[in-house]
Order: sequence, then structure tokens, then C-alpha cells
Amino acid sequence: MEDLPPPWIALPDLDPQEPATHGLAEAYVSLNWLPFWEALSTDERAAYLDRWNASPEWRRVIAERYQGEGIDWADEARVAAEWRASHVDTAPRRKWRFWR
Amino acid sequence: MHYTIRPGDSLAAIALRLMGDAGRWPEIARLNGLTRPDTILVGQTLRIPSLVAQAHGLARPREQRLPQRHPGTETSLVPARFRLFILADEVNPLRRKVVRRVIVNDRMAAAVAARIGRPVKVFPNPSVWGLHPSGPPTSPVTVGRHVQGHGNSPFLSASRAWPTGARRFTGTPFWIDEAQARAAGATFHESDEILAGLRDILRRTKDPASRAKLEELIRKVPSDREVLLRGSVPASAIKGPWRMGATRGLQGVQIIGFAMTAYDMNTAAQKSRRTHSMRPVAAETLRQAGGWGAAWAGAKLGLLGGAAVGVETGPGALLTGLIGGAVGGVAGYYGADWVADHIDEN
Repeated sequence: MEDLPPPWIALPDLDPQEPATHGLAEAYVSLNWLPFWEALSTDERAAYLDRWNASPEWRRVIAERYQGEGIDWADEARVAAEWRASHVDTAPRRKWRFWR
Repeated sequence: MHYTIRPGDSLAAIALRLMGDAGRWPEIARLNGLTRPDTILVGQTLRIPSLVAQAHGLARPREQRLPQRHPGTETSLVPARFRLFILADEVNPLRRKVVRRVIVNDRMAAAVAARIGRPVKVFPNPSVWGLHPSGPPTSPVTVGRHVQGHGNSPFLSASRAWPTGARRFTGTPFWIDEAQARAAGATFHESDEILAGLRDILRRTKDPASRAKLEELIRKVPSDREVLLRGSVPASAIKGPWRMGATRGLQGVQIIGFAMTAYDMNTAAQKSRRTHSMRPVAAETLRQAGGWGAAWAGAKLGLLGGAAVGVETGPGALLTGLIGGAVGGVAGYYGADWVADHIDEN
């Protein structure tokens, strides 16, 4: 597979802690880099991080954010389900009307 | 409208009284084929150019269309009033919106593309395709995990920073109408909820380095005025810069239209005072209500008509709404004018 430069090369100003949920960082990470990363095997990922000289902070962020390491996902799922149950949308659904 | 000549009348006096401008008597002469304008007879009936005809410019040659002003006369500034029955697709500019900055243009990603030596994929235009979170509604990713950057999230990030969103992010601003997004099933989650989610993660985090990063993120959230949307947002609830600009521009047109409407009401009120009759005001009210009401209905019907043939969003929808609004406005004005003329002719 053709190598795709990591976020710290494509976006040199991007802080590793920046969640990349807006704008240019979101477009590069979610549309371009993440599909590439997710297609790599474990060994390929390790070699990729070495090849592109990933900093310890980027390594930690990638492991946690994009591989879910260090997170108890069963506990997260429980928290998310409780949150959903307590956030039922009570806003009335508006039907079409003459004025908006 | 018609006028029966009374003793003491002259064409100039009739033009002043009925058309607001004594200098417009040649229009009455021309409309009635009078070859000797100085000779008119008491009891003779004259056709007077109506406001509708004046609005069309039918009664005056093109070179004379600009109103001639005379001190002490009431000159109508509304020759093209009904043409202003153009409605923006929303009236209230203060309606609540959030802004999401999205890369939809290759040019915005050009620097990155040059740096990595290949094209960068960009998002489809939200005002055409809508906005959709990366994860399903049942995703275990919480509010806090979303703002930490975890993928497969049921949320979308946006900002309440007005007017163009959080400016530190590169991207085209897209304005999401909160009421329409809610009507489509999306829910909104404000900064306090985001902070509560992050603090919950902080409570469950043991690693000191991770805790320090979380505390830094908690400090950043309020400055972006971040707000999260849960669920998809339909394209109809989203405006890009072009549509937002057009809408705001048309709101300006509406303001002009309303100002002209107010001017006509004032003219009618003056006529009511002069004639000690409520009829002119009543008739003008009917004209206004008929014109504006029909324009509004026409705009809605235009939008529905556009949607029926597949034009649901974007410039096409604006155009169908405008055409419907203009057609409805003209039809409403003529209809209301015809009825109003039976109350008090203008």
C-alpha cells in the first residue's frame, strides 16, 4: 500500500491533543489518513510510526484515540447508554406550517 | 379607476388630487385621448391611471417614469412596489444557528496536498448532502470522548461563535438552523454538557499525563463556544455562504418592501384624514395584506413545487421560492387591488 504521510507531516501546526473534529484537520484525518491507518496490520503500524519518526505524544494519542487502547469500552458503552436514556429529546416535532 | 369631473376641476388639479403630482396631467389626457386638455366638461367621466398601471409604467412613456416632485404634493415612491414581493426563505435574521466549518473545496486543502504530494479528499457539500456523524446513534462514544477526537462518534462538532464559527479552524462556514435540525431529530449539546462529559472522563482517568491533557482540553472548550449535534442534519437545514448571503440580501429587499408598504399606508391615512373616511385606509390595508400574504403563500408553493421536481435545496430552491413569491405577490396584489378598488379606488 502506498504510504500516506501522517497528520504531523501533513499538518505541521496540528497539536496532537487537538481532536481534529473541525475544518482542515478533520478532513485530513477522518477522510484521508484514518482509512489508510485502519487498513494497516499491527506490524505495519509499528513500522509506519518508526518510519515517520512519530513523537511519544503522537504515539500515545494514536494508540488511545484511534486504537482505543487504555479505555474500558464496556464501561464507556454503559456510560453512553445511561447518557442516551437521560437525554431523550423532548423538543416537539414541528409539522409543515405556513410560516416557519 | 374612473373620475367624474366636478365644477372647478382642471386636469392638473385632478392629477394632483388623485395621482399626487399636478405635473402628471398629460397622462390623464393621453389615457382619455383628449386633444384639447384645457377643455373638459362637468359630468364628463375620465379614466385615471391606477396605481397598478403606474406601477407597470403603462401610463407613462419610459423617459417620464421618474416621479416629478413639487413642494406640498404627495409623490408616491412605490411605482414598482409589487415587484418587491420577493421573499427570502426566512424572515427572522435572529433565528438561532450554529456554524460548522467544513472543507468542501480543494483549494482550501491545496497546501496540504502540496505538502504530501497527492490530492486530499474533501467533504461533500453539506448544503447539498446534509451532515452525518461518523458513527451510528448507538455508538459507545460519549460527548467527552468525541471532543477528545475519538472516531465512530454519533456527534458532530459545531460552534456558537457568531457569525462565522470558531475562526481558528480552516474551512467553509455552514450555518445550521437549530429549529430545522431539531425538527429533523438532531439534538444539541452545549459547552456545559461537554465539560461535564470531560470531567466524568477525568474522574475515571488514573494516568497523570492523560489527566493533565484532559484538564488542558477542559480549559479550551469554552473559548471555541463548541456545541455538539447528535444525529444527522438534513441539507434543508443548512446554508452555505452563497445561500446565507442571498438570504441576508433578500432580507434587505424585504425591508425596502416593507418601508414602501409603510409609505403607502401613510398616504392612505392622509387621504382618510382629508376625506373623513376610513375607506382609503381599509382599502390599502386589504391591498397590503393581499399582496404580502399571497407572496408568502406563493413562495411556499414555489418551494413545494421545486421540491416536487427534485429541487429541495441550494440555489434551485431559492429560485423556485422567489418565482413563487413574485408570482403570488403580483397575483395577490392584483386580486386585492381589484377588491380594494370597490372600497376606495386609488
